[in-house]
Amino acid sequence: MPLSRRIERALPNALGIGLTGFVLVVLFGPVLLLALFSFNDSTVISLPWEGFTTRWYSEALNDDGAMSAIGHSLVVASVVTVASLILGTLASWGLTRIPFRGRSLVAGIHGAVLVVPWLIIGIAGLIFFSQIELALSLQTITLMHIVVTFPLVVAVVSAGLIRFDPSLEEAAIDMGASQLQMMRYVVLPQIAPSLAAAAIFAFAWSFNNFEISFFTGGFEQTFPVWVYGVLRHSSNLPVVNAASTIIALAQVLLVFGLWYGMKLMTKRRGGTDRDAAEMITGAVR
Amino acid sequence: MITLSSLTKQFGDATAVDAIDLEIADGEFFSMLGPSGCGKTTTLRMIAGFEEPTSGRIELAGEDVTWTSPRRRNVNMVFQNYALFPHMNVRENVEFGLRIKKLGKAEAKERIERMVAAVRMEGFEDRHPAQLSGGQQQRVALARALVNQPAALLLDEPLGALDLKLRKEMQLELKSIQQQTGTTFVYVTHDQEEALTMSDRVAVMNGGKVEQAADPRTLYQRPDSAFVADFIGTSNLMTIPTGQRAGEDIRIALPAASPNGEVTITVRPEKIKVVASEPADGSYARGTVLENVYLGSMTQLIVEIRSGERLIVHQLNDEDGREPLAPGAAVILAWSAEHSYVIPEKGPQ
Repeated sequence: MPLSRRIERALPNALGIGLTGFVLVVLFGPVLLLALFSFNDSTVISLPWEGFTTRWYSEALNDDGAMSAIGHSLVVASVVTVASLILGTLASWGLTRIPFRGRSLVAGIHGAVLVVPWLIIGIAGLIFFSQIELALSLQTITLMHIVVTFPLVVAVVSAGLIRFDPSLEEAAIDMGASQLQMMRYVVLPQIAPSLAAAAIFAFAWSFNNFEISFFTGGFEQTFPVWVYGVLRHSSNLPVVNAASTIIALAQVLLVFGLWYGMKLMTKRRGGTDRDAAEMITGAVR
Repeated sequence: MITLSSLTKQFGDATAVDAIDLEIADGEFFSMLGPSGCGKTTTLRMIAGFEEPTSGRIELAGEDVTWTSPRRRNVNMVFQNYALFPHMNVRENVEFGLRIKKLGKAEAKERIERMVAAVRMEGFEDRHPAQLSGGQQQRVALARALVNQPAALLLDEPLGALDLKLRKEMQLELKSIQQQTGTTFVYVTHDQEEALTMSDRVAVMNGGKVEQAADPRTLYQRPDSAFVADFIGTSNLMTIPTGQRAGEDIRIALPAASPNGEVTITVRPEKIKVVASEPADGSYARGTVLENVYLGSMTQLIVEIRSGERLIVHQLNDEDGREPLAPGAAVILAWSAEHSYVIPEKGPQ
């Protein structure tokens, strides 16, 4: 093959690889750089490299403020996940299966919450709680987090339910199943990927949220609010960096674990990798 | 026995099913046939319990089940898209109804094995629906419903998604499973050939009403309405004014005891012969061939007779080397008096 033709054929591929590489670097470069510097034996995040250390990690793990903030965030995110999953699934069922007047309006309101900036929701929450004279605490943070994660769960689970063939529900009832048995044996196993995706998103949204937690939180801080607080002293930077790296790694592992689990599940049902991808992206669509 | 009495279903202003009366006997293969929107699927879903009738009654084995929940009716349904549970394998799918009923392990196992064998799916018990072909999924759906030993099996166009050859095979198989188990089958289809092939009786439906419910032979030979005559097979419908229509080019002889006044008759295409000269008795018409279509075992002629009507004629290709009649050829068509079937006057609706 002449060289010119070979270049012509290879060009789109090379461009594709180049573009993908660029996007990956822009997306993950800064994060990886921070992770890298969390092992640098210096309080300044910049070159030159002063030597490898795990000092910042042991400091982070022994920092009471960091640990209690992470603990608070875990508790809040767990409660938020469970509550919004239950409420959101029930709402999705109503929105996709029960015809009622004004259904599309109600669905629209759910969607609208998703595009309101968290800053505004945070400030609104602050005004609301001070109006009803409720002291700010982890509970008020939890409540306001549910406000934003609940519509997210509704969107994800509704997408799963819409893709779910209602004749499967009729088939279950036809064979004598009660509503509860139909839910337990037919619907839930089918929308499990959507529920898992919704749970991951709800947890991550709540755990990573800063704006709402900042405005509606009291004395007890969540992790992002703690980060914001201690960063006012630059000497704290490496510790924050180490703690953030641990958190980011845990979240990445969690998502990959889910992805792998779903792949196994679809394989067992005779599906392909594509089906698994479709289940997750379908849940998000 | 399934008895429907003046069963009616309205969706808003539209009447989907209009006061139909039907009796379906035990062990019968009963089809509901009609074009889309004729109310056949709605009727089936009312028998299953998924639609509530606006008025009327449904009885199963003498018991009024009009307002009984579908889960408590001793009927099972086979859905158009099979509706197999994708997260369960073949055995778990078939087992589902028995698990819900909490049937004993030993009896459940025995019934599942027998049913899987009856639909010839042995060896596939551990597969998931995604790993089965359309025909196999269909058979699993059948086993899943029949394992519950329902008083009647309701089938909603179950072969609609299969290709023609597989459909023909499944038709015979369905019929043989029905005879083997002795279960009443209520079968909804828009395919008249399918209905005629399998059914003991067929209800031809149109506009939410039952036009005629009868065995296939009666439907074909003695249709109660022009709609039935037209829907079942090919038919030549002609309206004959008062008295016999007779002229130089045409003579229509009606069977004895035909009503006076204007009548509508139907003549089946295979009853019409192409002859050399006007017959001494019976009907004949002179015409011109418009088109001939070779259909393998027969040739279909479209002939325009002198009155302007077009008749379809089927000639069996039972002799080699016979030249087909070319378009433009002048022909004489003849049929006997009893093959002019007079469609009964409909009573006031």
